[in-house]
Amino acid sequence: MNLAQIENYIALAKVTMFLSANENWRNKALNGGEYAGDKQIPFLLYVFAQAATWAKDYYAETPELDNVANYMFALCSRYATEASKLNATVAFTPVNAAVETPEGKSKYGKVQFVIGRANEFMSEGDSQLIIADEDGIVKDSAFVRVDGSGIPEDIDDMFSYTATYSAKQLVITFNATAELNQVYKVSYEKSFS
Amino acid sequence: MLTASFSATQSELGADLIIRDTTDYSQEAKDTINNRVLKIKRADGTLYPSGSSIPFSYYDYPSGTITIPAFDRDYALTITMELTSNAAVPGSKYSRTITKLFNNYVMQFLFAITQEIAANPLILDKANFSKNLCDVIIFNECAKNAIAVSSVAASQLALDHAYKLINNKNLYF
Repeated sequence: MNLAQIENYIALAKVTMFLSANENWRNKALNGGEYAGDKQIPFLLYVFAQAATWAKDYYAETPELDNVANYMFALCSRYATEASKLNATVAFTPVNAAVETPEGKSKYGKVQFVIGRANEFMSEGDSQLIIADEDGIVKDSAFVRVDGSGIPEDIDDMFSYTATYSAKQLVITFNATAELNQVYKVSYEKSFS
Repeated sequence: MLTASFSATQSELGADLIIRDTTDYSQEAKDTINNRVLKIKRADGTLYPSGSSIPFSYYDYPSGTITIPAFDRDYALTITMELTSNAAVPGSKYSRTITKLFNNYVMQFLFAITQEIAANPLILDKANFSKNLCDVIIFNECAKNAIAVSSVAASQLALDHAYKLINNKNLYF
């Protein structure tokens, strides 16, 4: 895992630490002092973020740090969508350290553009996005964000999208048209087929 | 005018103290400065090693970097670098002292324990595991806070408590 990814996870952990701690108190207040969730998450996130922050200077791109970072990411998962609203810079691409990546290539693909500025993907009023990737795209791996918020898949009464995957192409159809100055970001996993 | 300055870091695995002279010698003729020594003082007031200063001569260390095997555990230290000039310029500062926390052993421990949790989250259910881990974190934060206000003794005290837990890992974790 590269350093930027580790730093993204640490940033996510710091936001999630707040969200999970806040939820502990909220649940206690609403449920008469009882809380059925995992009360240790804020503390564990603190420990993991401390350890990862220190270790990234010495153990970057080692399986040991990958394991720690992935576990930290897993602890964040329940709060990921909410965390993205508070900090749009955090990344959500899960990493499986065991998967080999061809040398010199990233395991993940990313497309980002702003409606109304020069880009080859979408213009104002469009509702379809086509992404072509020569390395191939893993089915159901896309994560779509608009203006920093994760967009749900296939929900009729909300702003959502449907995706069609083929070997080297991903077609995303939104149920609303693109508006000027919206920021679209799509992350996906490459298949290197 | 010259102002002595240096950086001090702990090696990754914690055992060595690496000191680098960062003084800007272009401000004063270097051949007028004929010696350089280090004094490493622990929280109990004793100098390391064996109560004496450490020679750091320009001849023996032309690169300005010295590695000292100083750590069998984490320490809060007061480190002084002294330059000796045979043509002292008024206003120049030939001595520089810093207080610094070296806590890489604690951080190594935290990194190792997070790996263990990631590999087997069930260890969190062991009696007092989380409480003792919380203690290590608190002592580490105390050590950082104490050194931020230059209290070497308080910082060392917190490190000593963390050391007790880390050094008896089988008992506490």
